[in-house]
Amino acid sequence: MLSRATWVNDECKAILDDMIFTETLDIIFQVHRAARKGYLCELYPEDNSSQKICTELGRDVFGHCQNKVQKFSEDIDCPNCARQISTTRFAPHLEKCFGKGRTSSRIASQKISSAEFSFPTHGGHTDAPDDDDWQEKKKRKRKKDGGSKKAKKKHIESDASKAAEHNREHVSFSSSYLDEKTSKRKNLKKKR
Amino acid sequence: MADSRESEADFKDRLHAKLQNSGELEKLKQTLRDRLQECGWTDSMRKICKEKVRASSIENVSIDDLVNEVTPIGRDQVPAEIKNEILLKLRAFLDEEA
Repeated sequence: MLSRATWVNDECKAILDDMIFTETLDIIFQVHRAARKGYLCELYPEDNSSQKICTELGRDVFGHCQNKVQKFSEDIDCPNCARQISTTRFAPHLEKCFGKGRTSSRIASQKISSAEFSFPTHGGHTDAPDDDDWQEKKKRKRKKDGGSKKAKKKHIESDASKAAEHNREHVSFSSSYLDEKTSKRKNLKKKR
Repeated sequence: MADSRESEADFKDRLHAKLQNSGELEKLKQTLRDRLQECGWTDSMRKICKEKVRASSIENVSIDDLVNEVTPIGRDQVPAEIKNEILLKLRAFLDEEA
């Protein structure tokens, strides 16, 4: 059956041709539709530059930056100290910078107290009683915070410091005031 | 002669029908599609079509034009190995009939 064999061959070739034609048509339809609808450029972007290997220093083969940690935000200029601060650090920095946070307000108030005690030396002794009142108020506040033992200790200490105050100069008072604070801190530590 | 031709046509129809019904045709179509994609024929054809569309610079390119231009190119560009592979498979399946 030679003729049949040739028929089979012919048929196979015809079928193959047909299959290739089907695939070609498929592609043509895709491209044609894209061309008509206007998205042909986006469909198969021919970017020769993207296929090239990047050989820049400090970058990998794809052109990405090697350093994983990148600055993703701009630094902000602080209105107070005029420094450049990272956005993630900005809020805490402002707190300290403007003196509204816990620590900075305490430091500020300390400075005020030491400054006030230094002033009376210029003004004379008339201001001394006011200072005492102010000191007492502070101590009363402290008593409310602590326990009974602590309060008694403070009371004793404050009395002792009061006695010392009249004998010493006003500038040295601030140092005893600080001693109070440190002793209070020690008590707290002991408690813990 | 007329008989042989008829039987040839019938024979060929029979072959085709056998391929279709057994699902072998679909399988081979898929194989061809995969091979063409692997060797980059499909991407190459897309590029060519795109260039033809751009080159013609007509607002509405017709499908007929594309077909007439691109089909012969496509047929030539298919690698011989893929053609032979599919032909062999077809022949193997259909030789039982002969």
